Amino acid sequence: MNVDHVAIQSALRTYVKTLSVCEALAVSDVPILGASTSGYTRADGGSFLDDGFAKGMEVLGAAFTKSQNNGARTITAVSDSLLSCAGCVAETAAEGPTLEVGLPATVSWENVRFKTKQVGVPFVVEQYVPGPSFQEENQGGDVVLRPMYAVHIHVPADTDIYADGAYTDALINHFAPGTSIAIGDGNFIQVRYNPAVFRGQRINPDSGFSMIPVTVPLEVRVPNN
Amino acid sequence: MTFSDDLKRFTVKVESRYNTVFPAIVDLAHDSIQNGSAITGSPGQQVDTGALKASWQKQFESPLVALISTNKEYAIQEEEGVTESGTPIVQKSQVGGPHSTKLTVANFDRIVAHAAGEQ
Repeated sequence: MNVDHVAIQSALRTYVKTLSVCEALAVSDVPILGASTSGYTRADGGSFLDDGFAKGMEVLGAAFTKSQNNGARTITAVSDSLLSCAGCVAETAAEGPTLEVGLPATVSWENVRFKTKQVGVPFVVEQYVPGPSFQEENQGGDVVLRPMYAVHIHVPADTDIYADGAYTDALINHFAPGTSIAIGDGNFIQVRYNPAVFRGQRINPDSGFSMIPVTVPLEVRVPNN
Repeated sequence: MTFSDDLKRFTVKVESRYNTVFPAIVDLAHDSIQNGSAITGSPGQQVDTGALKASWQKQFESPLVALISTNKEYAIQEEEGVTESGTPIVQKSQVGGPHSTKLTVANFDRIVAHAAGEQ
């Protein structure tokens, strides 16, 4: 038997980092993005609102000419043509820069000291739940593991339902039933069908953050040899 | 003995078996949430004063419906493994852990199989 919970959790970490919630999409050709001291701007006629950006999300700016505009920052307001964020500097709109919301940069990985939590900055808490293991007699002697992966994305409180709701929906879609994640040695993690990935109720509204728990039931089969 | 008689005997047998299996399922699910279970992988409730663990009750609302519940408001934080401030709980209890109810639900098929197999 070659049970490797470390490999499973490691693969899950790698996979969750590829989460994509929304990005600036071009109405035609490519996005024309710039910045002002108020935040990120666009000049392509597209809409940040239509693209799914919401107050309380963490947006990642990349490929801007001025380095101050690159990196992660929290969105404080959204309109069609302006993503309000602190810390941006003026930059003429151009092709090339990108704006995307993915997994927030501040993550509490299990058993790694978590000391970077900041007021108003989204953060993630990861929990790996080993679950039961058993051998199915009619499955060629495979040992079946049923771990769960709990991902909690916290966003600033008082940001309505759109930021944490969008993160949650993106996680659910990212871990769609049947999703396979390779863990080496020909084995893989599969997201279970029943129960499939599910969310809980929004909690902690008075702590300065809002969070919706997302739990991913998983199954891993390992030959018993 | 007619086919109809056979059918009636079979029905009685199934009902009798169900009346035995259903309470066993409820017992296993309640035990999984409260004390932990190798069937579901649930760690059971953490214990400080023991109030949360003791608060988990099972009630048979009808022969076909049972309710397993707690009246402790902080149970959801213990379940999710987070504090009120949203940070991970530093577990001090030597027993139990988070996600007991979710593990019980996620492995309910194993509870049913186990209960049915033991009858």
